[in-house]
Amino acid sequence: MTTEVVGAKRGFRIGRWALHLVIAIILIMWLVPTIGTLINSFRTETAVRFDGWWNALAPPYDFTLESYRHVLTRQGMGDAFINSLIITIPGTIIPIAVASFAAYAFAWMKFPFRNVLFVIVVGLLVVPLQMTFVPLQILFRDAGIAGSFLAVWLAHTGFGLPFALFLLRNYMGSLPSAVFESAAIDGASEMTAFFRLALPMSVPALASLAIFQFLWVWNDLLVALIFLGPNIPNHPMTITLAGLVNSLGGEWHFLTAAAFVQMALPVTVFLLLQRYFASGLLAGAVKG
Amino acid sequence: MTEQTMEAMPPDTGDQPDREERSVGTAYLAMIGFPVGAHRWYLGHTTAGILYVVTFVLLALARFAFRERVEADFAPIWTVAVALVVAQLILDAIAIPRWVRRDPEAPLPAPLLILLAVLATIFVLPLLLDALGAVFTAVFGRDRVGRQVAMMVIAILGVPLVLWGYVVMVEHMLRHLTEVWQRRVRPWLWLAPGLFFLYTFLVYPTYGTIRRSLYDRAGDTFVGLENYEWFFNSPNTLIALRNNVLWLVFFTGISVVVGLIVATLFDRVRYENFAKTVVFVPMAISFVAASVVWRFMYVWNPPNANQTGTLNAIIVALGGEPVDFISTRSINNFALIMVACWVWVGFCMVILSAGIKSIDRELLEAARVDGATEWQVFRRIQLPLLAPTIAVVTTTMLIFALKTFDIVYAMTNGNYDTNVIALEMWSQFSFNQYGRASAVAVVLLAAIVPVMAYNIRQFRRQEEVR
Repeated sequence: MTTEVVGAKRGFRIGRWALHLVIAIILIMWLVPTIGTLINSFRTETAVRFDGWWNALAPPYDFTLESYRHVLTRQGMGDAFINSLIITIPGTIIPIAVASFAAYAFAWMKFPFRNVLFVIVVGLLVVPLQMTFVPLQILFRDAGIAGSFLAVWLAHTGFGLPFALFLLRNYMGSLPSAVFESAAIDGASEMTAFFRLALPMSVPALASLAIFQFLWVWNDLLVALIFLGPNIPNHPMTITLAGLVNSLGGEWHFLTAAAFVQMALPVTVFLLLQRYFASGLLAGAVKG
Repeated sequence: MTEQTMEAMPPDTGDQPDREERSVGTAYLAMIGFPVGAHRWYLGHTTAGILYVVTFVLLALARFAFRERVEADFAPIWTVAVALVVAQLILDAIAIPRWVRRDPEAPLPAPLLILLAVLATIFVLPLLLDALGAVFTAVFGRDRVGRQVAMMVIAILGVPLVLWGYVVMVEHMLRHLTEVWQRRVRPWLWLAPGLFFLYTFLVYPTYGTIRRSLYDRAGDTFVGLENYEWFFNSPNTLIALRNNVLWLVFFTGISVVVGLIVATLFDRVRYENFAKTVVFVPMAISFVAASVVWRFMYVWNPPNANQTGTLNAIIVALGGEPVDFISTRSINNFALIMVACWVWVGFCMVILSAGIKSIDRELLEAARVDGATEWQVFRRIQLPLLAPTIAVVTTTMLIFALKTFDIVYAMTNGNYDTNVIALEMWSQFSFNQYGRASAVAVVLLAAIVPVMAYNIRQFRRQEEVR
């Protein structure tokens, strides 16, 4: 009896070690691609070309910031970084501003066709953006804003709206109705209820939405390609970077530094605000 | 509009305004929006005042941002500014009778003062604009970047403020309606901006694309199903179609299964949060950057040379022949799918992990006490309870598999038989083949419609529970 328990415990212990080993292998598999590229970004051109990144881990050490300097000054990445910011900040704020009013109406006002309209929003969540490109491009061209930042902001607002509406409406709808009822009894107008109650209480949802939209717009390639395509000075980093990958010639070893410049901001935001991001994912996905 | 609803309108702050002397100075300040005197609570003036000031700033910024083509392009903004003033005038005119009755809660009408303010605005505005313009030039500089940053500032300040001003205006107008009509009209006015964007940027273009797919390249000749005939007969698009099926099966399958394994394993150790972060971080990396990272994993050198790609170095160290992952046709699609999995497993893991956490721990403990092995606990208890969550994750992955674009664009640009539908759409679009591009998009939509229908059904079910 006693030996059996000990045996079970030993088996359990071996199981634990196997578990830790498997997890360690998974983590290494996930980290190696990034770490290898990161190390390469600090090496010289010849080293990257003729030698694996793992050899840089043994002495003699020969690290340099040359790639980063080159990328930021001569590859147009500096301008592209600013373009990315110019695209992303309004592309994050505008859809959230537009969605919050409509989400409040969906959550707390009664009107005919409310459910039908919201079902349409749920349907629009998955409509491929490709369905909109041709008519929107023609629309922007007719309005004289094709290739401008304004076109991209508007496009991102339209594309981000279904998800923003969905998330915010679900969150606002789950706020306690007693709060709004007592506010109405105290004579608060809808505007007061929205600005003083609904909006401050929805800060967690607004935060996760902002992170989402920020990551999505910052990392977007397709929308930028479609609406900024021929206007090279307005290109964000994703387009510039993709251009570098395809022009494998002499610029190959700068790619690594360019990729990390592009990643730096979203990864920082992500690591700092991971909790909000995860809760947004859960609200957006599990309920859908 | 009834007298009762007007009287019932409560002040926004609690304090009762006293009848007080209205000096011209205070009245003017109150009118252009400073919270002075008895009119502190009257949101209309304060808001209008702030709106005036903001409009000034935005106009100045706009003038600075678009220096070359100011006058012609600013007609709309001028119209809006004038409309604001006119709306304010109308609102005040409505209040005149109450002011005459010396109703202490009546908003300040002062039509003459308003007229003066309008005149002052018209004359002072250009001066203000130029002064602010000089400030902006000093701050941002006069080059392209400076102008564009100014444009960005206009957008991020202007849009929320315009929306806010819109709602304030809407509420003002509504005060003149009866309760019942207020409740009928208000939701639509609050929804209007959102519905406008949904319609203009999603609904109308969807219709436009379907229509356009039946027309030729220039868009003026009806060609029936010719574009679809091209799609289902040209070898390149058929390869794209086949590859999307590969993506659907393998990308969805691998990321959901690996996500489930990872979530279950991580659930059993104490450093769970750290481990989850490691797998989750690629979600923050753009697909383009992920492609760069994996380009270095997949580097291939001739067999005699030093292998600099991580995977080939491992293969050679194990005694194998180096593999060219990018251009070998039987492998390259899977190489691309692996990159997408590396990014998206984190997503599956987070959702599934939350599902696992929501399962009652006591249930699992009870099973273990009854002698169930870990595998049985997983297979017989966790897996069935996770089924709805797995369904949600799977549908999300299916949609992504159909829409996949960035990775293929960045890594192979569709060469070596790696084309996908979304990339084909982009190619046709960039050749100005709008008819064909539209047809490709419609095919994509048709593939997504079943998932959409499933999502809507799930949503409806969820709503019934609420």
